[in-house]
Amino acid sequence: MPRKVFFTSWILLFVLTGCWDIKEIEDVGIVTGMGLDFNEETDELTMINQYVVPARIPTQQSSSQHQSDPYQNISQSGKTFFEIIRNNSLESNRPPNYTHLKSILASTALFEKERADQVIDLFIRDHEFRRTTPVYLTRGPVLDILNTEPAKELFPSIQIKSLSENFQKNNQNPTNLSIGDMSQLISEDKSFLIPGITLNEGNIKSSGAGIIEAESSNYVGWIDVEDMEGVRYIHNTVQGGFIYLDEEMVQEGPIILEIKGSKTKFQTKVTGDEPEMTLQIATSTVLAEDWGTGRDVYKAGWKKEIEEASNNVIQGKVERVLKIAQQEYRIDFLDISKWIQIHEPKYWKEHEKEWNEIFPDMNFNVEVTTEITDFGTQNFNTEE
Amino acid sequence: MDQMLDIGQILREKEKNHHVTMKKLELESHPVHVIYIPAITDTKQVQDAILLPLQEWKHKESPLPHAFSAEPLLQLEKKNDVDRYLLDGFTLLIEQDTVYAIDTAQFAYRSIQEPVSEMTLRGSRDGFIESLEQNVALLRVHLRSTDLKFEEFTIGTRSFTNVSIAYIDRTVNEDLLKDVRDRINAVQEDYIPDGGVMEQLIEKNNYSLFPEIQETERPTKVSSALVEGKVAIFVEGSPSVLLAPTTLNSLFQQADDYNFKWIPASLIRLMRFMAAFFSVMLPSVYISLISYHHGLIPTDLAISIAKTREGVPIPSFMEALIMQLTIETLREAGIRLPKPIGPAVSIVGAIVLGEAAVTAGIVSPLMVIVVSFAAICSFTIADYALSLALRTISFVMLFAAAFLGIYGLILAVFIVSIHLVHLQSFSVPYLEPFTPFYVKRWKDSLIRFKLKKGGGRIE
Repeated sequence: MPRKVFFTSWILLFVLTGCWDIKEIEDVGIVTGMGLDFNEETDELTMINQYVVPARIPTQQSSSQHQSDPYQNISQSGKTFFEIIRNNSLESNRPPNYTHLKSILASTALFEKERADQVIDLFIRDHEFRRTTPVYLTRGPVLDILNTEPAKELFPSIQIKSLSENFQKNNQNPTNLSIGDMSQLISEDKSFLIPGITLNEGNIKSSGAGIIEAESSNYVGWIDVEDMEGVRYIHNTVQGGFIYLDEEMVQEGPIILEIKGSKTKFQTKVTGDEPEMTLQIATSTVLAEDWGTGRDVYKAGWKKEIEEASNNVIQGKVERVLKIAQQEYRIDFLDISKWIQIHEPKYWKEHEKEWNEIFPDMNFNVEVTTEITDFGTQNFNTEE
Repeated sequence: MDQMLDIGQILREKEKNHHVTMKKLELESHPVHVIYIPAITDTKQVQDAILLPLQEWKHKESPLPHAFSAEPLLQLEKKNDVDRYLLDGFTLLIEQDTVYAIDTAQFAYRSIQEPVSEMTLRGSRDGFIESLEQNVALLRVHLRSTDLKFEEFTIGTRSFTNVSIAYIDRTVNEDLLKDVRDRINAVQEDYIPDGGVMEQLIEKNNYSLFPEIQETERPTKVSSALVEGKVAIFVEGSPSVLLAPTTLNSLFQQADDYNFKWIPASLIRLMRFMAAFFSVMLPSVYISLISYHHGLIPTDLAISIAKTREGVPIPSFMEALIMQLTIETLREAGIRLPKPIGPAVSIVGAIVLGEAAVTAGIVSPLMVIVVSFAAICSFTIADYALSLALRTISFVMLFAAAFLGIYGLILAVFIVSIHLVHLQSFSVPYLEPFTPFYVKRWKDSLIRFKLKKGGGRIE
């Protein structure tokens, strides 16, 4: 009998405490996107929370008539982000919940004024923020992008995230950088790229990337969308995409090669105190579109010319990005140091501190081997 | 109890009862009283086999048993026996100080039908009825073995109930047999109306929700259980036969599992296990997700749930509780209603309560989906006693989820698991073969492996 009483009271101990955390899902302000900006007038931080308004989500019955947007952007300014979040409750009846946060969009203006490590402090410290939330950068006002009516998605914030999921289709799309990656790169004292977003004639568009410099932890410059391909080869994240070869490069062009796979190998050599690096890029492609219809793909050696042209194109792109990093910005935002550290640990230990001086004068060789494995299902004008 | 036979008292007692027929035949030297209860007696047999031979009997000086060559004649010595045999439909012959009994019983029974509560697609369709004798005969049809042994018990203090246990000699465990015998002998009850009552009287864990003894109306199920070494308990007047010991695993087994090919049958059995799990957990997991752990729901789903919950006035826990109670009420109503109006309940339930409640905005459509799916899952549990247990537990889970979210749910699962691991049915662990872990016996648990050809039985 005493055992039963003990057991019952033990159960009650758990049960009677309950309920304090209960929060019905419809009483929670689901935030899918967040904008971070800098208010020049008041010299304060601005945070935009994109709330879901569930009642305005179109149902199948009512999809015909146009409804107002299913989201609400609340923009507030303050000295710290936490303060702004709590001040949201002055305007929103539902307190924000960040477990469904899909993207964080920051402006370059913010990172010019504030250090990146200080900005993301709250997002890696607070348990409600997921470390996998991707971060984006824009050169324009953040609120404009978050107010854009998205195509195919219900929320601009989710549209932003979905764009970067196309990185396998186009090499100009940057790959995702999550807040977790960012905190890792910051603690490793590395410069890095944050994927960029712009407004293009009222549409949200993925475009290039912003450079965050390690030492100042500030925004220093922009990589254009055309140069993103080179970055992707150096980051070894090319999985798909295409290579465009115009008429100047091949006879009877233009030609498009679809990339089936690509691998970048890094080889380092240290002679004396001079590090040297060779990038070996091996790309496997298929002939995707050919405007020179007279080509006879059944003749041996037809692809030699195309492969060489493709080698030159890729090499040019990679070298251009390396040149931007070495000459224009003189910082290593391409994570080259990782390979030095892996391949030459001894050298790295000695010269880690001087890396910023060594990198701009480093020698790079880019060797590209393109292979065309396939020419598709049919070919015109193979004169028989 | 065991009084000496007092013939005068017996005669006086029986004379008062209008349902007892008493005939006095004058033999040469002394009278013979013939006593029987016509309602449970084959009167034609009494006439042909007892009264006629007695009247035509020539050798009136020799003892009475010699009058009947065909019928076995029992000589009774106790007062209790006299009543018992009379109530069993025997005809009593009283000659001076000795009482003899002849079996002339003919009780009213229904014919053999397919059991309503246990449906199968393939396999035998006969079911047990209320007659112990018929039930034994049915079992003998399916299990023709000389090793099949029966033991008879009579229990009950006010009304005698014949109970009989069946087992297969040399297959059954002697300790189990002894345990069953002891438990049946220990029963002290005025009246036992059904096997279900018997089940509760001989089981040990009265506070457990789970059935310690399986109950079935199918002779094939009983015979395969006996082959496995179990003991069957037949109760006179009840079509449900009890099987002991019982494990959770055996409650999920169905005759169809064996009558169809093993791969689809195994998949169906796996599905049944999963359905049982869903029927217990689904509403409570849903509650804990939408009232505590919003972050665990995929964003698109979270948004659409939030949309459907918009404008629902009651908290999700109360909503789930109301829906669960409604379904239980509907189910109970469906059982009690006469067959012709039974379907009306489901129509009222589905259309009025489901559809209209959603339209009126009292409950969210997703909650209706979750609760009704859980209810459909619980219909796959064939054993009604187990289904009752799981339904009760699903309410406990609901409360646990509402109080403490996933944490509370896990606590509740722990408590139920601890109980199940602890539970024993006639000294057999309830969760066997999962815990204790007998890999060899897994062949007929989650998956039914193919039958061994060449006379092997499923181990």
